[in-house]
Amino acid sequence: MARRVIRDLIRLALAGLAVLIACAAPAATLRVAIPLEPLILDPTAGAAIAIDEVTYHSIFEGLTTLAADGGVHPLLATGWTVSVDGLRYDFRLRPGVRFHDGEPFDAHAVVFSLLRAIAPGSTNAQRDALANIAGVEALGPLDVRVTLKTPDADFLRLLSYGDAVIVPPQAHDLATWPVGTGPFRFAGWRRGSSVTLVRNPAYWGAPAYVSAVSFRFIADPNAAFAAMRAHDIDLFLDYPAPETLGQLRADPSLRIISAPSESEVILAFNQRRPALADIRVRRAIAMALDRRAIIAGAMYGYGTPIGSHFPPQSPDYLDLTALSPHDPAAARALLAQAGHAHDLAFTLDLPPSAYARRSGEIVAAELGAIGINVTIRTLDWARWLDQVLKRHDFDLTIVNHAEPFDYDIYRRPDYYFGYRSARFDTLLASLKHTTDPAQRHALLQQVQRVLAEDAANGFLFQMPRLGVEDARLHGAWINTPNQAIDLAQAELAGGAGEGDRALSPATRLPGIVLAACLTAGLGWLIYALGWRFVLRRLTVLLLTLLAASVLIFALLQIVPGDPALAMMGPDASPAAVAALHDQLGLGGFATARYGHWLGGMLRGDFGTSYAYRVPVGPILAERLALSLPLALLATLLSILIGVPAGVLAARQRGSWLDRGIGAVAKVGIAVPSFWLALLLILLFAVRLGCFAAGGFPGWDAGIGAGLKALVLPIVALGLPQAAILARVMRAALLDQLGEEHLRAARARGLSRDAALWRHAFPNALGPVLTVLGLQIPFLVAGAAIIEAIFFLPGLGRLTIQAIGQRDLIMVQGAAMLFVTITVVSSFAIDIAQAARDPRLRDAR
Amino acid sequence: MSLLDLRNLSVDYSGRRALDDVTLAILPGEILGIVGASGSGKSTLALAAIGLLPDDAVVSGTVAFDGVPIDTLSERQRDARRGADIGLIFQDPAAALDPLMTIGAQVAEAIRAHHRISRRAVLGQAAETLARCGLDPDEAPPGRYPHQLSGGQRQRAAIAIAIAARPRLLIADEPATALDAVTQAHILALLRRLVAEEGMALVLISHDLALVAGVADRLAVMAEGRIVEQAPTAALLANPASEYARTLIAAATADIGRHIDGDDGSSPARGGGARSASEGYRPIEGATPLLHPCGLRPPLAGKDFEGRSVPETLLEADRLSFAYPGLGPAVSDASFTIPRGAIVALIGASGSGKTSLLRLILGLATPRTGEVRIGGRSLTHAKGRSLRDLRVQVQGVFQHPRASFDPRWRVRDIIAEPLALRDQAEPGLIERAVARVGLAPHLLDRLPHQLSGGERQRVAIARAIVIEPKLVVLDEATSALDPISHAAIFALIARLADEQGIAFLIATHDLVMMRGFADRLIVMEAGRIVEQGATAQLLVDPTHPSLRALIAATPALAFDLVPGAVAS
Amino acid sequence: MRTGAAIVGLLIAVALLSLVWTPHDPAAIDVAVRLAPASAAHWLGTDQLGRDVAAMLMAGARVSLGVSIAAIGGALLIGIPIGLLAAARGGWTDALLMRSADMLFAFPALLIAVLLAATLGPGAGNAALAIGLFNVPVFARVTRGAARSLWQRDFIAAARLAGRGPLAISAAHILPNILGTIAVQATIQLSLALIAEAGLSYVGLGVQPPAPSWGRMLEEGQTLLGIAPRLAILPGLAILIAVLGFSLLGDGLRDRLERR
Repeated sequence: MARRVIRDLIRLALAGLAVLIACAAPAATLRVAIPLEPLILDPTAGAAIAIDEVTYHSIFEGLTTLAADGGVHPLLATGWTVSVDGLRYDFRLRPGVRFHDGEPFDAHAVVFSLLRAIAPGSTNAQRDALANIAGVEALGPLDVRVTLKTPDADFLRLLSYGDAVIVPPQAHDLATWPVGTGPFRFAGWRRGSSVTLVRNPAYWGAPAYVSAVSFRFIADPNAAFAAMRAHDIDLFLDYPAPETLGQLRADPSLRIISAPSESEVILAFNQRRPALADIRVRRAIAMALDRRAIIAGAMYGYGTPIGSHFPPQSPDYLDLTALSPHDPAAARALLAQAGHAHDLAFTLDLPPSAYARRSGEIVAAELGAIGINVTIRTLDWARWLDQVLKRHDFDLTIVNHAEPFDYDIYRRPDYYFGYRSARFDTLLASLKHTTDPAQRHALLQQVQRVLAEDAANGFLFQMPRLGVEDARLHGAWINTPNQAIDLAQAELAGGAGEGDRALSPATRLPGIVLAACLTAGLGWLIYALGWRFVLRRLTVLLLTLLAASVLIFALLQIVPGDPALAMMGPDASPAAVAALHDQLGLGGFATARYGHWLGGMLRGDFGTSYAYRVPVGPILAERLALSLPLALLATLLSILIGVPAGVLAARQRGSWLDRGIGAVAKVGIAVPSFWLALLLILLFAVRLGCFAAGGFPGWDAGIGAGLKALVLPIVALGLPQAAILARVMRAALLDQLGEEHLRAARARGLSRDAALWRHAFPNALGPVLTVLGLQIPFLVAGAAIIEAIFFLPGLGRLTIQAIGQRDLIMVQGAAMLFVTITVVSSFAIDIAQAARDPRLRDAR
Repeated sequence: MSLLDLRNLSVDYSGRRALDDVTLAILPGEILGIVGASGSGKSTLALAAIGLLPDDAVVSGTVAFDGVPIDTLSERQRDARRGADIGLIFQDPAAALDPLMTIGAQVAEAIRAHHRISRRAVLGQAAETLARCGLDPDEAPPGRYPHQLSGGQRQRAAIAIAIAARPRLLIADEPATALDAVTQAHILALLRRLVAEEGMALVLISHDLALVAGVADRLAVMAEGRIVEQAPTAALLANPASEYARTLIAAATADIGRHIDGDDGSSPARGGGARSASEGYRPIEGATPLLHPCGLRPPLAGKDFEGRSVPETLLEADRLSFAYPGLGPAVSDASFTIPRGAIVALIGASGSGKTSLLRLILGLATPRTGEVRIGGRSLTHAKGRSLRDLRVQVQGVFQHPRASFDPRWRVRDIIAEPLALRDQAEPGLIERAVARVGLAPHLLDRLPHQLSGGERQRVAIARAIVIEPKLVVLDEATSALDPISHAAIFALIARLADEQGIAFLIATHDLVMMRGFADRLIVMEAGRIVEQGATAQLLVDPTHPSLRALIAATPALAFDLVPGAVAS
Repeated sequence: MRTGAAIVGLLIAVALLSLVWTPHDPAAIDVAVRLAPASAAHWLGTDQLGRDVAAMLMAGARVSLGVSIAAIGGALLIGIPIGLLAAARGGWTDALLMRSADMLFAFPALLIAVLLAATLGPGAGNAALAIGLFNVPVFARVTRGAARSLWQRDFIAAARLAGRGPLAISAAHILPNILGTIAVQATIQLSLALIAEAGLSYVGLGVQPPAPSWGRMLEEGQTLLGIAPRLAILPGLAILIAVLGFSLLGDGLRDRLERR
């Protein structure tokens, strides 16, 4: 054990050294931030946009691609021919292409990939669309024929989606270790924090300029702002804090991007509700909306008003905002006409994104102005997906539809808003079979008009692709017609960015060191206190843990929301969701699953994360490596401040010092730590700029850098605890100072201070230790909000995130860990008390 | 020249006067006894002498040691004097020892506070000091923690600490009050020996005149912060100048009959004060001398307290055993009977199982084996209705009356609570009970904390007798009272027994009082009943060594109870 | 004590006042005047949607106090009987109840609250439920501890001699004598509940918009720290003052209790 610790320590030191050296080397990593982390990295097995953002065009490529104008161009296929009936496509493949693992790209891989996407049990989000494929056959090593069931004018575009990329037949774990043909290779993934790609030197095309790309996932507006200010990020896409763009604009080294996107933010109506099935009510609502005010209030002016479900930059766009002008009086008249002058009351279910919440508040106020009573409910994504998307249990919701060409959703009868229109269905059917550009243009404009006239939904604004980039960044193509970010040509003039870092195994090290110290300490205590004493308490500890595991498991069985749905997202087909549900082992009896889980934990296996599809244990360990030091250092800080302050106050009871400490402590206890955190950010990050407002570089960036990132969080957590400790210390000391044995000590000639330190202090430590025992678990778990504020990849934030993702197995593991920490620290405190007080040792 | 000189010393705590113009001198090698009721300022005097009064004390007058006034010394010099010049022994050794430190370390600390000596050498010296104070290294080695010692051992350790630096004056503040009588005697003997061996002066502070008188060369009597009288012991006992000293001597010699006459508020010691303890009493109507001239109660009509033909057994304890979970047996195989109307004393050192036995008798605890029968019916196995019927017959009075009252209830409600046991309470029961215990009716509307100690004890007894039980059990019911109230309560009990025919079972360690009071004695040791029988017989002819030691260690008995007196 | 009572009284007064009067409608959105500094029209300025901050703070007091008091009140109603029962029965009832309480303590309160809110959906009621749930064992334990030590007292023995059963003793002797202790704990827990409510609102699981809440104001003000720090500072200050008020009140009560 000890030898291992020493070995790990040496490794840690070497890693630190390596980082120092690396920092001096020329920078070559491009740091890209996006708000949401993909849960898997296989674009053919999930629908989340973030998967495409990270992997498509960088790791994976398809047969075709879309140009800026939306036209289909060849990529891995060099060309194709289409039969006259539109049912047969013959592709000629690009020669000399190899996958990252060295295997060649050929017709076999294409056949495999397309058949895999439509196979039963496939979780491909476009499986329904791709199911139009009747057959795929290799005509030669580089020739493939695809046969369709019905002609589809959009088929080549479909092949340009991330869902249709070509994957290597021999790869088996693409979700966690993606292998493709693109300009970057997958290098590593720190869950909850970053994905790293490195340049593919064997790329068939022009190799990338940057040697590596590090994707960071920052959803919190404050952390995003802080990261940009600190120049921690070279390119931030879908920047989540439009309110801060004004401040960033003042920085000449940054450039604000506001690109058009395929995203339409809509106020969706559940047309299964009788009131909302009435077109007059829908039109009234549409006319109650003041798009300008919504864009100004929710998006700080970034956004384009839309009157239908179509992006304004499209050549087929038709501005229909005039069809639903902001006219509350007319809206009220319409409502009266519909017989709903005053009696309408709706719920507005909002997903957790800032744009939706801010828009929702304004929309609620605007609907209130025409006499509609709106109740807002904020849901996490999993619940929104379950309740709104799956079960259609809502009245109104606001959500951003980011898929390109997604007007198709208005045709689906089982889609969440339940729009039905024969006129619309006919239009789409003819669009499907029309290939003539002029005819298509006319049809698409008609599609937009029908949706607007029917007030199929409330159309709010086009969500711009907001971004912030380093002014020296060139060649990054971000407003691609699909969700990809094309970084193949990106380069940083003057080479900023970040140096290559040695990926070291040191991440888990602080945890190991701590565990070792803890074990050694306990070992010594067992030696000092006798095994019988320790064994009895250990038994209690284990029984508590067992009971806790039952409780945790039972508790999590009642949480609504399907993890599979949460992972697949809104655009996934039900069949794909069901397939994933089975894959995750969510069926079967609860007792059997509990037994499996418990058995696994005994072997150190916490199960496989539903969300990330990797073992839970290492992720927890990695997060613990942040949370435990954070809690322990905050505890240390609170001891270093609280204990001396308490002693000073007690020693000079009644003096101005005592009163001063008492007053500060009283206020200190009342300060909410998350508010203190904000004040610290305001002072030290925003005003003085001497600490970062958030983020954590990881321990492999060096202990110093790691600690620096933790300074403000430690202070925010530790100070209120210091106030508590100071009060407990003072009260306990005063109690002791009134004891007869203190008087006896002085009677035998000890000075006031000697009596205090030798007799009062050791006795007063009892209550202080008890408080400390409660404090450590409180800090580990209670740091969740602090972790959120400072954007630290800690255990608390992981747990909240996992609850949101319905990654229940992760929640179970984390909860178990928290309970273990609580139980172990109370065990440790018990032992420490016994070591301190001989009476406790003798009390059996 | 005197060793310690207190001159016109007054001490006030936030306006309350604790010491009032005290002038006192202690000569080298002398033993001075200071006697007074609790609250008379004795402890303040001790703390003032050693210079450890609380910060909020306002002091006037001078304290001089060896002719040097201590207020001329620096804080450091004063620290250096404590322990080296004057040693102090506290009342409760359990509280005066640091629970986290071994006794050896605490003795060593006292030595090292004054003498430059190596850590190793000091340990030997500490062990030697402990041994000199009677702590056998095999039984109680220096490595023991205070909680691992018995009460007597703890006090020996505390004494060792106090004398470790060889002070010239030792002040012992109630050094034996927390201990049982036998241990008390041992501790006093130890102090006497040490004083003689070391040539120390000793100030022995106690509320127990008999105890101090047996040791001290000179006595000082304190009351309400003043020294009422000081004189050589023999002179003071023979010829007390003050009325207060006279009362004290009377109470100590258990001359209850004479004392009752004074219980009308005219006692000089209780004359002043806004609300003296006696204010709420009325003279008990028709108070007749309750005691036989020789100190024994007259036999009850139709009874023979020799125990040969007991007319009617009220309560029967049959082979009772009891243990607290996880501890050794508290009561083992205890059997005895209580006749109707008898006063039975349960004698034993603290920790001998008296309280546990009483709880079994009262049905507050369930015995492991055996049972308690009242009038032939089992209390132990009674439930519901029949339990209530039995409870009507047995009531209890607890050691600390104040703790036995709900602090939020008024006296009237407290006394009335047991009436719920009766299906219909006759009116006037409360008033009758109050009259019987001699409590002024206006006290009925008071809250417990507004009563004096003696009043509280009367309220407790009134509650016990309000439903007119056949047996009242008292657990050390007077140990918290000053000697005068103490005597008055016993007089009351005697009267209730005589006039109401109520039987009493009284747990006590006060053999003096029981001598002239109880019909029967039951002696307990380590959970067992080691001896029981008629009082006179047992006192004259104790067979068990435990009782013999107790008789020998009881100071008052030593100076006026001679077998011949009982025989006459 | 007096300061604490004054602060708490003021808070309650403000909360009640906000029911009938606030300087503006706290939910009234006026994007045109957003992020306005303090002025005669808007005493503490407006927020990012042009709402009046003073009005929101006043109405927020109602929410914070309401949720906290409901949570603690509910916890008292459930926790006290459990504690009394455990103390009166002793034995395995006591052990079972107290071990269950220990168990609940071992769970991280915030995360269970998040889980609960995720299960039941966010909202003031569920926030109160989540906070209340965690206070049940607190009060059960405090009640049990205080009651247990009373059960050792002689006056309980005296009541038993008077033939009273455990229920009657709990009601007549135990409860009145431990109410003070419980009241002290309740004020302390109230101050903690205020922080917890703010925390839940901060993560979006408390009361829902447009009803204002201090915690949510804090969260929404966070990204605006650089432009309008008061939007984050003011609600935090309100929380601080409220918490301070209750903890001062608790301290005062405790001092008064101990003096007796």
